[in-house]
Amino acid sequence: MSNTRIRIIPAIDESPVLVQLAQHAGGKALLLAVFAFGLHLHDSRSWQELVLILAAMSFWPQYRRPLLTAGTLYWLSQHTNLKWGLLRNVFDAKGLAITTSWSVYSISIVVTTILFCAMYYYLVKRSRDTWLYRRPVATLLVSYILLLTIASHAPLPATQQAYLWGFLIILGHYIWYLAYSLQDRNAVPGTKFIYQLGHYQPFWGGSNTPFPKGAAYLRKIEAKNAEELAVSQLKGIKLLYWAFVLSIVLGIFNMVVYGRPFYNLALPDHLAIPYINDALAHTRSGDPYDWYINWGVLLANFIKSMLTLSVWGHIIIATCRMAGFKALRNTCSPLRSRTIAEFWNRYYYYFKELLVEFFFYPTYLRYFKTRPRLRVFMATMAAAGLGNMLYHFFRDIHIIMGLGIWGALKAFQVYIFYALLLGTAIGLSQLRNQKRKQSTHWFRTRITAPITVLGFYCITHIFGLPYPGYGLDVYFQFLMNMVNVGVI
Amino acid sequence: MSTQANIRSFLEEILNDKGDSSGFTDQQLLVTEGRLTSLDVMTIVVFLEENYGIDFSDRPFDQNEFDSVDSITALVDALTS
Repeated sequence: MSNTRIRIIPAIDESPVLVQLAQHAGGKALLLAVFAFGLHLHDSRSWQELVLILAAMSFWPQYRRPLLTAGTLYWLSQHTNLKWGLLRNVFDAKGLAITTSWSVYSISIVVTTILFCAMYYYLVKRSRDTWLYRRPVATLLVSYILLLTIASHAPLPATQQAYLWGFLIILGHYIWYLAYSLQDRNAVPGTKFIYQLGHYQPFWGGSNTPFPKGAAYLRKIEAKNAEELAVSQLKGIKLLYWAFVLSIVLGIFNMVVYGRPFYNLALPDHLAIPYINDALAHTRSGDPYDWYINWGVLLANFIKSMLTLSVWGHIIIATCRMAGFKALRNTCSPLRSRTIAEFWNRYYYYFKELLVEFFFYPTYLRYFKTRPRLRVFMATMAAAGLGNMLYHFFRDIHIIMGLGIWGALKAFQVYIFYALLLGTAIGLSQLRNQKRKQSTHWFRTRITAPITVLGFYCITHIFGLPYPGYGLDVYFQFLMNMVNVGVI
Repeated sequence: MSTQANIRSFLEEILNDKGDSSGFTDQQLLVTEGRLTSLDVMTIVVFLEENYGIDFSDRPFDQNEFDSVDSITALVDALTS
């Protein structure tokens, strides 16, 4: 297919010569070198180890799954951050240092959690025709909430509390990975747990959100032959270098807007837009910035967030593609979104997929079947509202540890509001899209629709910021100040 | 019309509504490639519920089963046989 678009990164994956070259030993070595250079440009501190794992997977693709597990376990032992700081706090606060060492405590917690995941996975697989088999994820989530409540409020001895919190911290990190394993319970022949484990925050990176989804998805997108592997790797290189272009844009943006030095370059004058937490702190103290500064703060933070997420996700997916998995991008042209629902799909694809798999589908398939519009709306609310809220509640377990489960729920009022707002907006957007055909008018599709969608997310994203300890009133006050309405 | 042709025609309709007129084979993985979204999968679910009387509520749901004309056809055959 001819393509006359101007490209910043050439479409190397569409070149028959390069695809052919990348299938031979010399070509593979060249690709790995180009990828290593790209990682180096991104300032990756562990690029040598990453490239070694990728080299093994490139030259011995028949052992891709065992190598993935080995690479992931190696990464876990060396680099993966499973909230070690928080775990260490528990270890110190509960006085465990008197009876045991930090390494024994941390390793035993991680091993116990992984064993729990394996046992739960096999238990579910062997429990056909039971409630557990039909609702394994719901059972897991409810049990996790119960354990959080026990850890928060039960008068347990300090040692037991330390081990319970430790288990909950690590399980909280892996809970959505385990959920994806459970989605795979029905697969024939399926994937053994030891290979599922390769996907529990793989060496290519991620967060509490599995990139890219679970073992079933990996089986589907895995390169099946040398040509597919070559194309996947060329796409990986393309994405890594595109991420580098975006990281330069982000660096320049930070320099111009916030005055942050970029490669030792600093502008004598910059826009000096305050950071959003600073602006919220000013609002809270009754000394808000001028309305136009608040607009600048909000807009700048939104652009920064989009660029940061794009760069981060692209590096992860680029590495995943180099490993031979043809994964879709995490962020894909969010500025082109014409509807609120489309932006949700384009901005953070794998988080959206997580919510769709574990909240949208179960609700949609079971409830409100006779009322189609309500069915779509409630399923969307379950995903973007309830699922979104639960995900962040589990992720921010340190707040639960500090405030107890009820205190944490109260502290989460801002995020709960955000999740409900998002659920409602996306639900209405889905219903609106169902009713009419997509407009093809250039001005509507390229200008007014994207601006409306981005405007919505730009304004509302303030409610989704990491918890700074403020109530909902501070956020509303910030927004009121943007339209020059003073303290009420 | 055969089940396969019926499903193919429905997928073409969904893609056309999205302005995607490039063709596809019966084996092509449309969800994996990002051409069909999760909401499109739900549209397919409703289509199968209404046209083939399938109830998805009490079986493990796997989005991968809705990835291609062939996989959807196999699913319908398995659940209606």
